[in-house]
Amino acid sequence: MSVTTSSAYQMATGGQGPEALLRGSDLTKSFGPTTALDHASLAIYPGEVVAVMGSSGSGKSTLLHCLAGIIPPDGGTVHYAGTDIGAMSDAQRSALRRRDFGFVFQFGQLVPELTCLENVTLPLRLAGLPRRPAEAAAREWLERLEVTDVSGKRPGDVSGGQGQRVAVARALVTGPKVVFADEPTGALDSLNGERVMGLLVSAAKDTSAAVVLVTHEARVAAYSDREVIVRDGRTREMELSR
Amino acid sequence: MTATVSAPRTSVEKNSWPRDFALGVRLAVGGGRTSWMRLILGTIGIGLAVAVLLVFASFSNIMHSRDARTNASDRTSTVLSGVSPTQYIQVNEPYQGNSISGAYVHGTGPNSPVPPGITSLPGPNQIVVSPALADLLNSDAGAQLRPRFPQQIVGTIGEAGMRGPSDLLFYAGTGPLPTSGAIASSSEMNIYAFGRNPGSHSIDPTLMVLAIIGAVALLIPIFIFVSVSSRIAGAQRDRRLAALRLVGAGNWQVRRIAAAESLVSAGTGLVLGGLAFLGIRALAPQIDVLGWSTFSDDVVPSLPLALLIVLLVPVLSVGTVLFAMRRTIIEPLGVVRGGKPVRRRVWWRLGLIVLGVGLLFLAKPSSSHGSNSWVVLIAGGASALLIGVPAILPWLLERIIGRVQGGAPSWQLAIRRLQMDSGTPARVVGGVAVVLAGAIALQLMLFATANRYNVHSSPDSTDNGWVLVGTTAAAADQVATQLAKLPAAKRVDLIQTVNAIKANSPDTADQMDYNITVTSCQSIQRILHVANCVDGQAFLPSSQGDPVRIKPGDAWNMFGAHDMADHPKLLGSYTVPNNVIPVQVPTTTTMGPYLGGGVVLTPGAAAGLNLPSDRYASAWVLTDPNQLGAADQIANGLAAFTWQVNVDSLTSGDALNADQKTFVTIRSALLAGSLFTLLLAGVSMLVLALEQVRERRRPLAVLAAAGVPRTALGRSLLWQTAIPVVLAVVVAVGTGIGLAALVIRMTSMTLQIDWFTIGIFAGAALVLVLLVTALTLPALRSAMRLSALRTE
Repeated sequence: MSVTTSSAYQMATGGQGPEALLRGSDLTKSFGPTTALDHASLAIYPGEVVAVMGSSGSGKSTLLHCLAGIIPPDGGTVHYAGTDIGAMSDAQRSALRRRDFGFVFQFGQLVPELTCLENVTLPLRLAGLPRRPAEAAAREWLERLEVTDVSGKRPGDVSGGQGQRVAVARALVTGPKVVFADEPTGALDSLNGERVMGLLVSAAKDTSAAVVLVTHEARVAAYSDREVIVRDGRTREMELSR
Repeated sequence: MTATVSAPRTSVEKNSWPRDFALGVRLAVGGGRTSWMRLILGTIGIGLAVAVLLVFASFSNIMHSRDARTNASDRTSTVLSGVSPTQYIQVNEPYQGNSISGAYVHGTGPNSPVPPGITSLPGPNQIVVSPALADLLNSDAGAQLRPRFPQQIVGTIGEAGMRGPSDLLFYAGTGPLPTSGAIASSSEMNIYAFGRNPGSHSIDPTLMVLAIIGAVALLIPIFIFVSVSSRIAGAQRDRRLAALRLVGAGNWQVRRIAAAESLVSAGTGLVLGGLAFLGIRALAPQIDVLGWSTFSDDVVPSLPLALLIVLLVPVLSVGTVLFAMRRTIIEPLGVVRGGKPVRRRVWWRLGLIVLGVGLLFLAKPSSSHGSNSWVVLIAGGASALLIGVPAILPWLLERIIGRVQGGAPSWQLAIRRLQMDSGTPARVVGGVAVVLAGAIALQLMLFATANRYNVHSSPDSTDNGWVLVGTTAAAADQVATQLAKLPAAKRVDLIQTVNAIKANSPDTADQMDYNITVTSCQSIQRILHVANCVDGQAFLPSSQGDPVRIKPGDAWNMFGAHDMADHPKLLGSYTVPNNVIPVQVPTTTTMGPYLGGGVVLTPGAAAGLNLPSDRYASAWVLTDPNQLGAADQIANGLAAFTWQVNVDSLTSGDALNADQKTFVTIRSALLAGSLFTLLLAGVSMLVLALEQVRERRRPLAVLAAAGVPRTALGRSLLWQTAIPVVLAVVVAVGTGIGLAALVIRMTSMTLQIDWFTIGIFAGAALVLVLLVTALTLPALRSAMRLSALRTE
């Protein structure tokens, strides 16, 4: 495996690939005296799985959050489908997250008061979909992710692995264009981690959703099409030899 | 292929209100144990507040109805042509420290007026009684009372004839009463109508100030409790809202969801409060505070106030949540506090206190004492001062805690925690501080007022235990003979009285200025503590500080007793003798002051006066302290004299006049209210402490894993609760004493600091701290289990 500065995806397609779905350019972000991103750039293309890797504190999560419009960068731009996310209002960014993005984090993203089924229906209900079709879609995803049996339980009553699969179902139920996964297996044992990753990637492939996968584990990164290394807030693309 | 559903592309914000509300409700009611706990605590807090507020809102109606019924029972003795009057002799019967009021009545014609609450006058040997008196007579406790009411009970007095359900009241029928001459009671007359126009009774301004300060002191902690209830599980709510933001909920959408959540507990609290109020209303007749109770029908909140409560409570609840979120930015990754940490501003907090002190200083002791503007200044000043207490506490705590360093690990943990967030604990103990400050101020004022109203919890006289038997000169000897047979009567002094006015006074009938009292040398020596007395001497008693109104040589006109037509008869003239002996009435005597306002003559000195036979007489009976229920024994022993005697126990509640009764009622209500609001503040503190333990479950487990002993963390909890409370107590004591001093300086009363009571209130607050800590320990023990560290 050798490190390159060009996109492996573009290389594979002879530089004639489709337009980037999501592009972060020259991103900078500091938290007080700490620089998290130092002119980092990354492009995500439709349907690909990109692993963002790096050591702890390298800025990989900050890059994901900037790309998802969760936190605004200090400098640089993020374009989604040609639109500058930074120029959007809070309401527009909320709508974007609801409509086109899905999220799977390490833990804490499920609403503890709602059942697993209600958690999966939540983005659909917030978007104004009636309860029945929302629940029908949610049930299908829970079944696909093999957690139908916990649909009536609350997140606090299910195991970590089951909770993460519910989170994956919630991330995918709206048919997002991009799924952001920040250390999705960080709190799971290896067996459960493998299972969640397998389901996440295969489901994303089936729906043609791109996946931005932040991880520091090589075995998790192995599920990706290409890998990007973040070190000291800068991105470097790695050419995959697998 | 699994179904995916595309979210609608149009903006959903404008149509999302009902959905957001529904989601908020869902989160409030269906979130498992924690949600239910939050909902239940919020409901209880708001419910209690609503119930108390509704009772407060009913107060004016209770007073109005009571006054209306009191007015309806008032009697008119002005002659009305065509009306045959009802002969009416009002009497009082002491019974176990209470007073039974009643009247002997006789209708002189078919259209004789009937008192409210009964349909017809009872005939001779018949009696109608109030339900409370009927119950008493039928009970074992009333056995001692039954000999006094041998008449046949022919009816029950209805609500319209009573001030409250606990009134012990009767109307006894009798034959025709003498139309002239003295009767035992001074309240006898021909009655031509019952009832008078309302509005003549106004509450004493001092009492009004006490009541207003009491209301402020009780209501502020309730508002604090409502606000604290709304903030229960705030951190958890923040995390939940952040999760909603992650899946695309807008910024205002999450605020609407949070508002809907708090509206649920406000709604359930309103329902619970309403039900609790109905319960209190139903129980109102059974709630008897020193003989003061009210009918259920009177406990009706004023409509505007009730509407205000129904609107205000949800608004306050939602407002508190939104206010708490004003600097909060809920982002998908969590919650951040916006901007720089804000240092609490002191100007407006001190401003409230300065305003309060200023208003109290403006209310100078002057001729405006008791006027509306005076009451407004006092009440406004006191309210501003009391509201200033919970306002200044967070600032003060922040400043003091910010300077504290070092100490044992438990102390350090507590201090650091308070340094991170001292606002919430300061707000909670703000409730305790207001209760304490208000209660201390009121207690000090009551301490001073008690002297004015002469109401003491324990008698300080050397010769207490007196029963006054009113009668006539004609019956006096028979009454004295009967009294001598009663073991309860240790000593009897027979006193005979004639009323008089100045000889040249234009007022001849209505206002008797002076008493001419005739009694034996032995009685004079006993009552006035005069060393030497010789028959033929006249005495001029006066109390210390009283102006000297009577001088030797003053000429008076003497009048006989009021007759049924309320007309006293002119008997002749009297001149205060030049050799009258001035006597200073000792402060240690109970009965001495009753001889003030006139001259006291030995029989020899009254010999030439040709006093009429229809003069008033009374037997002053010193009771035997070894005899239980001495006053009751005396009343029973004299029962055969019916309307010819009127027995009054100086220790009975009926010896208190209307203002004294109001005073006693306010004092009881304030003490009960203080304890209740302290309890509310305690619940707030407990909720806060439990909340902290739950929120810090993981750090606590980590500390336990690192070997920090449980006792150290327990002590840390104790300090966390105790430090704000101790500060609150110090501020409250200072404010309470200051407020009392400022109010009392405007009256003729003297400030005496009752350290014992202050100690009780402060001790109660500290006991509350220990109790709260003790109740939090099980939760702490559970939180420190190492299983709390498990994530998968």
